[in-house]
Amino acid sequence: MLIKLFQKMFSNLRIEQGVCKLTLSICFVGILIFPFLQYSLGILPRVSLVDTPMRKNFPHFSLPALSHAKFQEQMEEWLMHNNGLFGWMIKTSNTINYRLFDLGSSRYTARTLVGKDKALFDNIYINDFNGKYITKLPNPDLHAQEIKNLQTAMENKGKTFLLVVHPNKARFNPQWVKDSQKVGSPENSYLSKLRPFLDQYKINYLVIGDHFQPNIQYFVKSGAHLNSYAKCISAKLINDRLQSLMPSANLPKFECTLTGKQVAPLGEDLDLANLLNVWDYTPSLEAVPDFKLEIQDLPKNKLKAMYVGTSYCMGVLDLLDELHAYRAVDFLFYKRTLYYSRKKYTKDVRKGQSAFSSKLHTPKFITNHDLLVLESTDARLHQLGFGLLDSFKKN
Amino acid sequence: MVFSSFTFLYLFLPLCLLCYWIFPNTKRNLVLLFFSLLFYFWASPQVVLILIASSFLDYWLSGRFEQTGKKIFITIGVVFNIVLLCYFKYTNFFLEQINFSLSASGITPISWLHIVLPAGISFFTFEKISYLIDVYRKTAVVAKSFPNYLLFTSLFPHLIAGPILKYHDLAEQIESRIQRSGDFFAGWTRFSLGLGKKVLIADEVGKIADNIFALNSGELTTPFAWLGIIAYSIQIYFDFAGYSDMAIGLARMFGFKFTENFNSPYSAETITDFWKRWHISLTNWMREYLYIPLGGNRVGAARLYFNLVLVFCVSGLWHGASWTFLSWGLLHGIFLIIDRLGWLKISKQLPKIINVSITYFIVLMTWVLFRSVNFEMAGAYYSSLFDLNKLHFYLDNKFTSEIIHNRGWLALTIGICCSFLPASKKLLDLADKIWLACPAKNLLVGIGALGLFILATLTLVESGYSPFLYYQF
Repeated sequence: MLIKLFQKMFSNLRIEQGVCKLTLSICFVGILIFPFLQYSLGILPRVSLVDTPMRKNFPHFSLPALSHAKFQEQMEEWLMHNNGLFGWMIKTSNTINYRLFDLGSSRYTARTLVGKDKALFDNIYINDFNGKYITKLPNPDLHAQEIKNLQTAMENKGKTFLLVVHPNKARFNPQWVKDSQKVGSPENSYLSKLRPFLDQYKINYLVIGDHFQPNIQYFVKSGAHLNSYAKCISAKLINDRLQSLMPSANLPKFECTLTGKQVAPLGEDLDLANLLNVWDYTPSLEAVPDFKLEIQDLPKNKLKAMYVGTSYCMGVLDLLDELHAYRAVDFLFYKRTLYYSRKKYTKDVRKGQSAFSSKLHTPKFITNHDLLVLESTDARLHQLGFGLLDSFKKN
Repeated sequence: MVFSSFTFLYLFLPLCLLCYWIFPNTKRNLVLLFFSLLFYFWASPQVVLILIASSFLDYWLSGRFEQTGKKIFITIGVVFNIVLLCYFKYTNFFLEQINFSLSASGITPISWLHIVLPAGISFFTFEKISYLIDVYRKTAVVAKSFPNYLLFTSLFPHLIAGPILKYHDLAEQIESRIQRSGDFFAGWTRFSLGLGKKVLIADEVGKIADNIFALNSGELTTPFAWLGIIAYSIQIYFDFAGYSDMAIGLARMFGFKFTENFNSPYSAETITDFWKRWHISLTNWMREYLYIPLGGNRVGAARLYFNLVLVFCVSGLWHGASWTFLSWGLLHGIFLIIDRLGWLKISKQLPKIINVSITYFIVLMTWVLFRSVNFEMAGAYYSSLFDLNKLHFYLDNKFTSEIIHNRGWLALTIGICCSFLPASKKLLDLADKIWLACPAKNLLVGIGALGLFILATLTLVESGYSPFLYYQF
C-alpha cells in the first residue's frame, strides 16, 4: 500500500534523467562558486551581526606561519568571514537552532540559553539560580570583612558606602526555566551565604529584589536586564537608601508610578534577543509595564559619586542623570573605567588593564568621592568590585 | 586541509574542478597531482617533501626489482617505509616509556624534541607498502611513470584518512579511466552525504561524548556514562564513514572508483562480522599483507590464534601509539579467537537481535579503551558504566541541557536509527521496494544532497573547525 502511494505521488514526475542530473550538478557547482561570486560582485547585500568577532584583515603570510599551519587556520577564518555570505549563513543557522532546537548559543553568540516559552537567559543567571558558579567562591565571612573594610575606609573620611545587589532574572521567573536547566538548589546562591555576614558586620546593603512585588513583571523574556519600570524602581531604592545614609544631602525625590498600561519591549529589553542574531526574532506578545516618572524635588547640593558595578548600573545612572542627582560620576564597569556624563560613557584609555592597577584608582582616588555605590548582580556577587576590594587590601 | 573546511569546499574544490575540466584528458592526471600535493602541503607543509622523496624511492626500488629480480630492493623499500612510519608515529611513545623507566630508576630522562605526526602517514605508508608487495607478487606492474605513482600515493581524496587503497586497485584507473556522464552526479551526491554524516551527526553527537567524557568520575552517573559511550560509538562511526563517503564521492567526481570502507558495522552479528563491515580497507590490507603472509588459516590452532592477536595488536598500534590502543586491538583479537572457538556456531542458533546486541555491547566496551587517554581513565569509566548506586539521570553540578540539547538528541536518534535499521531485513526490503517504485530517484537524491550540503555548510560556519577523528591516525 505504501509503495502504491509512493508510485501515485511520483507518477506525474517524468523528468529526463540526464537533464535532471545535469541541472542538479550545475546547482551544486553554483553553490561551490557562489561565495566567490558574492565576494567579487556583491550580489546579495551584506548582513551585519550584533557583537560578532570578525577577522577582517587578510592573514599575514610568513614561512614560519605557514609551516606551523597558523596561516592556514587564519586563512580559513578569513575566508569564512569575508565571503560576503557570513552574516547570511550565521543568521540562517542560528534561526534554525533557535526555532527548531531552542538553542541560543553558538560560536558567534554569547552564552544565551533558551528557557520555557523561548525566554532567554544569560547562562550565568541559570548557574546562579542553580547555586553553581564557574569560578571558585570566596569565603563569605572573609569577603564580608573586606567589604566592611571598604565601608570603614569611606566612613573614616566622612563618605558614604552602599552595597547594592541586583536580582537574577531566573530566580524571579522560575516559570521560565526549563526542567532540564534545573539542578541543585536555588536556595544555595552565594547571596544567601553572604547575607548573614553582611548583617553581622553591619554593612550598608540593599537587595533590590527584596522590594519587588510578586505580581509585577520586572524582566522581559528577550532581555538580560531589568525592564524600564524595574530600572526606575531600582534607581529610586538606591536613591532613597543613600538619602537615609546621608540625611544632610539633598538628593532628588521622585516616584515611579505604574500607569496600568503595557508597552512593547524596546532597547535594552531586547538585548539578548539581538545577540541571538536570528532572522525573525519577534518580541513575544508580553509587554512591559508602563510607568510615569513623577519628580517631586530636584537636588540643590550636587555630589560626586562613584559607582562600581555591572551593566545594571547603567539604567540606574541614566535615570539619576535625568534628575541631575550628581555633579559627576565615575563608573567603574567591570575592570574598565567609564567616565560618565549625560548618558555618555567614555572609556578609560587603559582599556584591557584592570582599572585598579592604574594610579588613578587608588583608595585615595576612591575616597575622594562623596559616595561609593558598590553594585553587583547576585550571579556575580562573588566577583564583587572586579578587583576593587583587592586594591583596598593592598593599599 | 580537511574536506569539511571552508577552504576546501569553497576554494580548493572549485579551483581543482575548474582546472580539471579545462585541461585535456592527457593532462588531467598532472592537474590532480598538482592539487593533491597542494592539498598535502596545506595540511603538512613540513613533510610534503618526505612524501615525494619516499615515493620516488619506492618507484626507483620497484624499477630496480623489475630489472634485476632481486628481492632485496623490495625488502629495502618495505623496511624503509616501516621505519619512516615508526619514526614519526612511535618515537615519542617509545622515548616516553624509556624515560618513565629511567625516572623510576632515578636516572636523568633523555631529552628530545617532540616529533610532529605528519597527516595521513599511517594511511599512505600502508598504500606504499601495498605497491611494493604487489610488484613483488606480480599482481601489479611497476608504475609507468613517477608522476603516476606519486598520484597513487598522494591522490587527495584518500591521502589523509583513506580508504587504504591497494596499488593494483587504482593503477589501471590512473593510467586510463573513462569518466561517464553520471560519475560527477554520483560523486557530489555521495560527497554531500558524507559531509552531512560528519557535520550534522558526528560533530553534534561528538559534543555529547566530549561533555560526558570531560566529567570527572565522581560526578558521572551510570545513565550518563552509557549515553556518553553510545554517543561516542555513533560519533566515531559517522565521522569515519562520513569521511570515507566524502573520499569516495570526491574520487568519483574525477572518474575514480574507490572501494567501500563501511557496511553498516553496528548491525554485525559477531565480531568477525564486525571486522568485515568496519574500516573494510584496513581489514583487507591487514589480511592480505600481514595475516596471510603469517600463514593465514592454514596453520595450527595455536599459531592461528597467535596470528589473530598479533594482527589486531598491530591494528591497534596503527591507530595510535598508546597502551590503550594496543589493548583495544588485543581485545578485538581475543574476541575473534572466541568467535573461532565456538561462538560463531552458537550465534547461528540465536535470534539476530541478540547477536547484534551482544556484538554492539562488546564493541562499546572496547570503544571505552579507544576513547580513553590512559587505563586510569578507562577504568573509572568502566566502573561508572556499572555503578548501581548512581542510576539517576541528572548531574549534581550540571543541568542536562549543558550535556545534551535538543539538536544533540535528534542527531543521536538519527545516528542510532541509521546504524541499526539495516540490521532488519524486513525494513531493508521495504526501503528497497519503495526506492525501486520511486520514479524520480535522481531528483530526490540530488535535492536531498543539495539540502544536506547547504545545511552542513551552515553548521560548519556556525560551529567552526572540527577535525576528523581519524585524521590523527
